[in-house]
Amino acid sequence: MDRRSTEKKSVEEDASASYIYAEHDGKKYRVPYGIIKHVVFRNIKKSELVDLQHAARLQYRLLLMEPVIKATVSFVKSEISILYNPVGADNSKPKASLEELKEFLKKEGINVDEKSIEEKDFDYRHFYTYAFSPKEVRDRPPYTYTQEEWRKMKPEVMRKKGESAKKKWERFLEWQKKYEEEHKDKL
Amino acid sequence: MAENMNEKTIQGVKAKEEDITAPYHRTMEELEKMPVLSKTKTICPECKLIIDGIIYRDGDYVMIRKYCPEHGWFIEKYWEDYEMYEKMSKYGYVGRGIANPNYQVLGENCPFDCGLCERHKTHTALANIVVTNRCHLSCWYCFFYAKEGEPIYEPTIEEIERMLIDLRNEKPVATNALQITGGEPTLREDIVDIVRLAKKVGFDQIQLNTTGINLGYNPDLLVKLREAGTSTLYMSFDGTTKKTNPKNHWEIPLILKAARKAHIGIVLVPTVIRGVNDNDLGNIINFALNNIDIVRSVNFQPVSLVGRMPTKLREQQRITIPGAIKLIEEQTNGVIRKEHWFSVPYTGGIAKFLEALTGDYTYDLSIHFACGAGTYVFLDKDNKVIPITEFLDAAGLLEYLQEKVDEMEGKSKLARKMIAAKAVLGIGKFIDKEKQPKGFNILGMLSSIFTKHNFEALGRFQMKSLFLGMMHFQDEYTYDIARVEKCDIHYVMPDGEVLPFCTFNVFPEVYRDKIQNQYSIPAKEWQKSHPEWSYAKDKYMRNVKELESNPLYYETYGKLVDFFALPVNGGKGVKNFTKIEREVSKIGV
Ligand code: SF4
Ligand code: SF4
Repeated sequence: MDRRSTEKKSVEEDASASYIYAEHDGKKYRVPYGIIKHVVFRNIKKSELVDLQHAARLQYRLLLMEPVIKATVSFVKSEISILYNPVGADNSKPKASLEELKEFLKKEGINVDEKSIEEKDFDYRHFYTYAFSPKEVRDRPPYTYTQEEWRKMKPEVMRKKGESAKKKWERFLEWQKKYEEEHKDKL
Repeated sequence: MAENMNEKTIQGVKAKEEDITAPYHRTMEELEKMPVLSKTKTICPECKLIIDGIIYRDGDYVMIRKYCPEHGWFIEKYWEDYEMYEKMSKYGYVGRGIANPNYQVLGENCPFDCGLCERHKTHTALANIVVTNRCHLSCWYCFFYAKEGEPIYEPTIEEIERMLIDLRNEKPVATNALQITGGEPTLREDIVDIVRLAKKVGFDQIQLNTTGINLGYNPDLLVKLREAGTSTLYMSFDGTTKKTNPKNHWEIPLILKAARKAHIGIVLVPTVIRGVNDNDLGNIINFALNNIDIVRSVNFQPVSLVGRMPTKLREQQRITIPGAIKLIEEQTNGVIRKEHWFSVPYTGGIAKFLEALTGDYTYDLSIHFACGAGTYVFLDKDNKVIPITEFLDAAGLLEYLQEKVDEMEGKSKLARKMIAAKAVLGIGKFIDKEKQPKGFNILGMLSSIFTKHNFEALGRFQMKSLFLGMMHFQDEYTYDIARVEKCDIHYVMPDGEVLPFCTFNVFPEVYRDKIQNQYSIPAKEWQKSHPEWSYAKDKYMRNVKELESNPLYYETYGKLVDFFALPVNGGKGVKNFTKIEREVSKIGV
């Protein structure tokens, strides 16, 4: 599991300004954002979204904005969800305010329903962690096997897979040793 | 209101006649009569609206046309050979997709929901990891490398490790092949450590995408890279002359020498542009055959015209997979013909057979048939160039394997093995032993793959042959969402996402550049943390005179054998072949 930290590097460690880190397995990873905002605009009029294709283009246009980190425009759910870097956030990346986002949407023909805006703080590192450890959404069996057959076979197949990976690695080490001997003078 | 004189209706949409752009300058009436082959979703090159794409036949060509209500009509070549389109389309199939996509949305806004999202249909077959955007060259057409003063994108080794593990965690098939790319990856001092790391986390195939220049000058580095686990150099090679290959023409001799010393294979990668190097394709193959001891493959890439481009220029430069294949046929005097090529998803039949037999997942190259094609050519003991399908009935073999796959369904492990054993015995009928290259045992190799799942035989087979591949990356004009949702060449990003090549590079503003900018370091900061570094120090200065007077230069370009001019290959010779010698002799070596 990720442990998170907004720890800053000391000036001695790095000549530059403060950085934000995510931690995983005891290692630190510099990330561009810490606490950002997640805003959801619900109850968007379908007529304003036009259709699936125009909704997708609106998503593209939102993504063109530098402060927008992720955006989804769902025609089906009549909803726009945006992860963005808000004005005042403690990082050096381009920022936007909620007002600016609303203004942008207005120019795109979307009049947001003020009562249906939901905005909250969001830790960018959640997004980061989630992308690095995605959950399984399906388990399709190998070609020509049924789900039932696969359920029974899976443990054995996985065990064999592990073994063959080990063997492959050993073969590589053997090859490497030979190669090193042949190229002693260059290595 | 009366219909404007110039306004016509096509597929229920009104458009002005002058909106119909090149390349084929058809009238509305003509277009409407052309047989529609399939319908797809594409994008408007101008505003990126997702619109319908009509793939239709225009004589020998397959074209795509699309209409944007705001920006009018766009017409572009899709494939330059109808017959090949028909043949290749038979091999298309839908893959299994990813069990644990990194971005879990449904993908209804494809191609803007990457990635990979739940809709994506093919696992990562080849993963690219960008390790730097610094480069020692400054090619005018390249938008990627960091120009002076621009932010530097260079993930740390810990970040790289995390990205690599991300790829290895992909389910159900862990990514096995990696391409380390840039910029120029050899500019990183820890490049050997990066390769070592990739090997350690489990990648089998590690390619280094490089100009080769640093390695030509520093052969010991290449030995170190090989020892660490680099399998091949993936090297730009746009032609055999100075004019067609200004990027690394002069350094190629040094690079080949270094590769021989390090025992490392090379993939030559020509980007094919009509009117620029399209007359050099036969020569490139000839060059590869001359260096078959280290050149494993030639991977032609018909140019992808990314960015907005005037119609006329597109018309001049556009070339598609069949276009390049037909030129190869012409330039090799019919030795390597269009019927020798197969689309990439052809291999799916073999993958299915192996899965049915073993119950384990195999690499499943279920990309769209229009994305890539390939063939093997052999050079036998008599220097005869023999494309694989001259002696292997590949289409028949695939049908046969499919029958066996169907037979295996629902059977026990033992019964499956029996069917497979019988199948292997029957493979012989698809091989014409008279025509197979002398000294090759194709049947033995196939049996070894099918019975022992021993792919080492394939490795040996590659040592004596040349793989010719084609991949036509997309651009806004040719864009086909049915292709990109099946893409298997992906980029891993520092935020954990995995992006298909043809979204990463076609929409850099929302993918490549956007994410890399987030993780880049301003040039000034970079300078502070790397006091030894300067932009100018990264840059390579070529001494043409010195390189041309090196005896290796003449060895490489002046003594080439024209394999196609040998009587055993028909004796006609490659078009433009003599040019190479003349060019070398001019410098009086
Ligand atoms: S290209 Fe693939 S990952 Fe990207 S949105 Fe389409 S289906 Fe999803
Ligand atoms: S990189 Fe582009 S051309 Fe290649 S498989 Fe992917 S979508 Fe197709």
